[in-house]
Amino acid sequence: MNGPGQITQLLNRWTDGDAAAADELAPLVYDELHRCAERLFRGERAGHTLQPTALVHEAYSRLIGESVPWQDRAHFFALAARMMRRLLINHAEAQRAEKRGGGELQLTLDEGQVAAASVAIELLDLDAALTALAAFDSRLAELVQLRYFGGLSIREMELVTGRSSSTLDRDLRLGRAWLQNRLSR
Amino acid sequence: MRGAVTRQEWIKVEAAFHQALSLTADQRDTFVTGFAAREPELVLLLRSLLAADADGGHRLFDELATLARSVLCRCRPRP
Repeated sequence: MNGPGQITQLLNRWTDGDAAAADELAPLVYDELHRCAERLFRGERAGHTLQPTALVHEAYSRLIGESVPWQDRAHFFALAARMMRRLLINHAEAQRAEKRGGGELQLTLDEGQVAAASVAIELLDLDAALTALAAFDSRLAELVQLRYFGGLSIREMELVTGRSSSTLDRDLRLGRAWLQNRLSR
Repeated sequence: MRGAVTRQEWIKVEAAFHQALSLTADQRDTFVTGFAAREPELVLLLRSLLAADADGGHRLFDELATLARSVLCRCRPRP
């Protein structure tokens, strides 16, 4: 049973301090994000831009499907942002492995595949930089993850973090600047 | 990027960055000059962060969406 009821129960348990509930919830959220990606591509229109943040909100609608206390919602989006990042990195690693599949195989790659592998490597670099940021300022890294992988608006982040919009804006600018410098080294 | 700065030093840089954002360009120059006098070992980091913020911090995350979309294309169902 993976319905909204189960998800809500897990969120409640997690909000109440049961860390094991997050472990149970993580694969459910990950799988739903993957399904959402497949479904959105299936119905993709010309010129449509699939955003990872849209996937997170879509997964929220499908998994929760009802209003929940904002504390639970905050926990869901924090987890979903982490799972979205993992999903992207898993796919990026697969693309990089494909590119590194040996000299002969590389000769058979078309331009599209090479381009896909290049952006995958950029994404992996960003992921590594974000991990480095988290090593000494986990709060900043978490905010960046919520905003850019979880797709939370500033208003939603105010609810999730309890910080003001002006503070969040400054923190996000600092996080972005640090990552930008790290990536340009 | 953070290099060898300590937690306490990072907190100083973070506070200075936040304050600098609230100032006009002229005020910011004066502020950074004052910071350099007080914290000569940290001013390079502060300047690089402010430069990155002014120059490309926003673009980086616009590009993230593009990167992510390209990577997510691998989720596309196979025909």
